[in-house]
Amino acid sequence: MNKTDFIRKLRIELDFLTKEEREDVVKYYDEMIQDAVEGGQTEEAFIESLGSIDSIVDTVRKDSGFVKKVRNKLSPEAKEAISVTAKVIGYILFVFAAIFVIGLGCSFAASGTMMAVTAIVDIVADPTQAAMVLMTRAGQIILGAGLIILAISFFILFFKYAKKGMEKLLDKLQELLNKEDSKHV
Amino acid sequence: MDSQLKRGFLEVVVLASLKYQDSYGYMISQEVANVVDISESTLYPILRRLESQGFVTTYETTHNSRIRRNYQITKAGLKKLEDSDTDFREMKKIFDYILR
Repeated sequence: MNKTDFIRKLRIELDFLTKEEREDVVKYYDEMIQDAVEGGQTEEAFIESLGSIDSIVDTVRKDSGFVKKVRNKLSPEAKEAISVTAKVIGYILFVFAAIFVIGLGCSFAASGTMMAVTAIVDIVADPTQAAMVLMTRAGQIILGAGLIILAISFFILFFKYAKKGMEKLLDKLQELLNKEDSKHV
Repeated sequence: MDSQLKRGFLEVVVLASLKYQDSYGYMISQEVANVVDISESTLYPILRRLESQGFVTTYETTHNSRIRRNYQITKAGLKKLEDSDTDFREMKKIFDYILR
C-alpha cells in the first residue's frame, strides 16, 4: 500500500473521531512516513511495518477516552495551586484554633490564679476567722490551683498534638479538594 | 512484557528521549526502538497522552517544505522523570530479588 492509499483508508476508518482529532492522527502518520522515506526506508515496506489499519484504529479508539478524561482533569499547575490553597486554609484554621485555645487557657489560668490569690490574701490578712470561712477559702485555693493545672495541660496538649493534628487536617483538606477535582471528570 | 506495565514504562522512556533535546515523531520512534520494542503506532497514543497530561508540548517547524511536529519536554515532564527515578530504584530492588 502506498501513502496516499494508507492515509485515505485511515481517514475513512477514523470517522468516529472529530475532524480535528482525525487530522491529528493523519498528520502524525503522514509525517512519520515521509520522515521514514527520507531516512532511507521504502514507503511500502514502512507502511507494512506500521501494522494493519484495523489495529491502528483500535489503538486510537482505546486511547481517545483516556485523553478526554485527562483533558477535563486539572493540569499539574492547577493541582499545585490547589495544594497551596489547602495549606493556606490549613494554616488559617490552625491560627484560629491557636487563638481559641490560648484565649481559653489564659482565662482559666487567670481566673484560677485570682481565686487562689484572693483566698490566700484573705487567710493571711485574718487567720483568726471562723473555721467555716477558712475552709471555704481553702476550697477556693484548691479550685484555683485546679484551674491553673487545667490551663497548663491545655497548652501542653495543644502544642504536643497541634503538629500532628495540623498534618491530618491538611491531608483531609487535600483529599476533599481532590474529590472535588475528580467530580469534574 | 505485560502491556499495562509496558505502557507506563514507555511513557517514561519517551519522556527520557526528550530529556536533552526536542525531537519529532520518527526520530523518537527510532531512538526509543533502540531500548524497547515499540512500533510507530504505539508511539502515537503515548505522545498524545504525554501531551494531554502536560508533560510535553508541541510546536511545528518546516522541514523540506512540509510541516513537522516537534515535541519538547515541560517542567512537569522533567519532574515526572525525576519521580519515576525513585520508582525505578524501588523496582530494581524487586527485580533483583525476583531474578536472584
